[in-house]
Amino acid sequence: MAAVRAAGLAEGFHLVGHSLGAVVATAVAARHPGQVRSLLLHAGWVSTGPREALMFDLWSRLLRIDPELLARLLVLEAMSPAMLAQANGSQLEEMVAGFTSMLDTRILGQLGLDARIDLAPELHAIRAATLVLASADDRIIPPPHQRALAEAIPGAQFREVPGGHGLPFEDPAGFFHIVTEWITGQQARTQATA
Amino acid sequence: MSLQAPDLLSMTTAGSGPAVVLIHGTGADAESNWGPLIATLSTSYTVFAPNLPGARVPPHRRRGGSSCPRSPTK
Repeated sequence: MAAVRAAGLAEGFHLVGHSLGAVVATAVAARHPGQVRSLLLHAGWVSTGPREALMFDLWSRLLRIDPELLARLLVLEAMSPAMLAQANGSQLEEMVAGFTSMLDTRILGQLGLDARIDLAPELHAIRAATLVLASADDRIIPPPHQRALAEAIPGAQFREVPGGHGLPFEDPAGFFHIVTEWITGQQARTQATA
Repeated sequence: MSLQAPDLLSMTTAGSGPAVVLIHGTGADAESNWGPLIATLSTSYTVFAPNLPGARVPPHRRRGGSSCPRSPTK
């Protein structure tokens, strides 16, 4: 939020988040309801449960041993079965290399945050028009988490699309089209009511 | 362009118009998570995409390698 404030966004902004970014966006929308014009959350969640805590702890342990081990697990978990079924061996290794290049122990802080999310007490404060977007084959934060998120945010819409947790990487064109359409619609609505 | 906010988040900024903020997921960074979307939205919006603490921003991206300059208008 400090970064946003530094950028001079006091007049309001549309907010979009993916995964941990969706959690951060949710918290910003709850704590600064007057400034968030609209909210789109993909692969977000309300509270980290024991299963998710176990998963994030495993990720942290793998990362400390060898980032490539975590990258291999993420390819298997973050991409949808449909996408993985279409990929050949060298394409899968390319995905592993891509993830490996992004992972090192500097993200342990992010994983620590992932493991202790509890936004349940704050969600009622959100005033922005909200779209909660779930990928049907999300095996990291399965769709029921996102349905719960939509149910707890006043007036939120819920939409499920094909794909895995890593939708921005798996189907960027499809995902970015949904985001662009949503923001365009919300901006038009904002102007109509201004 | 990239800028340092007071809390030391680096950020990709592009375009002009109403503001849109994009927040990436664990292990990603602004460019890898949002890349082409930043370019698309920046034709009508001012896009701010911070890098969360710990994001591995490759050196060539640290100084605004990929984003459009922010228009001084609007």
